Amino acid sequence: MNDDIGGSGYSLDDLSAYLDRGRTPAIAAIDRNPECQALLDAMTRFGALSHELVDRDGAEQPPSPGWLDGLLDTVAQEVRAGRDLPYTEGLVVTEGAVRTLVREAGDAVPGALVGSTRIREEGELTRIEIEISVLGDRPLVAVGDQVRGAVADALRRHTPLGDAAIDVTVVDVHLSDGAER
Amino acid sequence: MSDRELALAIDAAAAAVPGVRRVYRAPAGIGGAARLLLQRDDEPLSDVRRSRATVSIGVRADAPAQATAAAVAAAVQLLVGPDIEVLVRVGRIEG
Repeated sequence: MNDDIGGSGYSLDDLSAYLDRGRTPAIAAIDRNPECQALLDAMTRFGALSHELVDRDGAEQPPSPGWLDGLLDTVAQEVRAGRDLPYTEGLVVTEGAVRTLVREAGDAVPGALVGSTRIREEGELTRIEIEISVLGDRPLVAVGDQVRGAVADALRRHTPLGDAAIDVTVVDVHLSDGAER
Repeated sequence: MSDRELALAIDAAAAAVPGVRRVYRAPAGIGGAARLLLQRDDEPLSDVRRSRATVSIGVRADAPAQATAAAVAAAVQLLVGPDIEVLVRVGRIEG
């Protein structure tokens, strides 16, 4: 994917190269763009996760190369600012900021990796749909519950969506023997 | 004070509010992407046009985002006066 990220004039590949260079020399159009920053942070997290998986499973069983790339493409779509969600008149939070918040809250749960997030309106109700992968031999229901709790806390603390319904679906299980199910 | 000077002052006022991690480039309207690309690095981040000022902020995750945005709005409103409508947009909540 080589779309312009957040009107910065830079693509996902450009951001990846920027990260590889240690974010130097500094590029203001990237550093001053919230969508670019959200993507860079996601790349950093995924890089650490990839190393963690390799370390745990053994170098001969690295995670599938397409898996993290696909995840990054999804994140690139999700960080787009999207709609303004109002707190009160004159104060808004972007939908992209909320999706990023949801993803970071879910990723912070041990053993969970958020695959996708979606915000849907159903009449008066807002529904947050989250797909996760569970890493290692962890109980799926417990990890899902922890993700839902962490996301609910973050939404209540930071967004006007504190009453949103939250659905968590486990779509992948990455077992410690490197197999993906 | 020119619009540019006012926008720079808004950037500084917003950045000084506790809980603000950084000030981002305010989204531009129609034709905004081209305008953003043409902006120099030392230009203000906030957008002041006619009777409206827009400031985009990243909020630290340990600070409540709405309260932080409200504090920014109050600080900016004090700066620009009552004739300019202020919009504060939380573009990121950052851990």
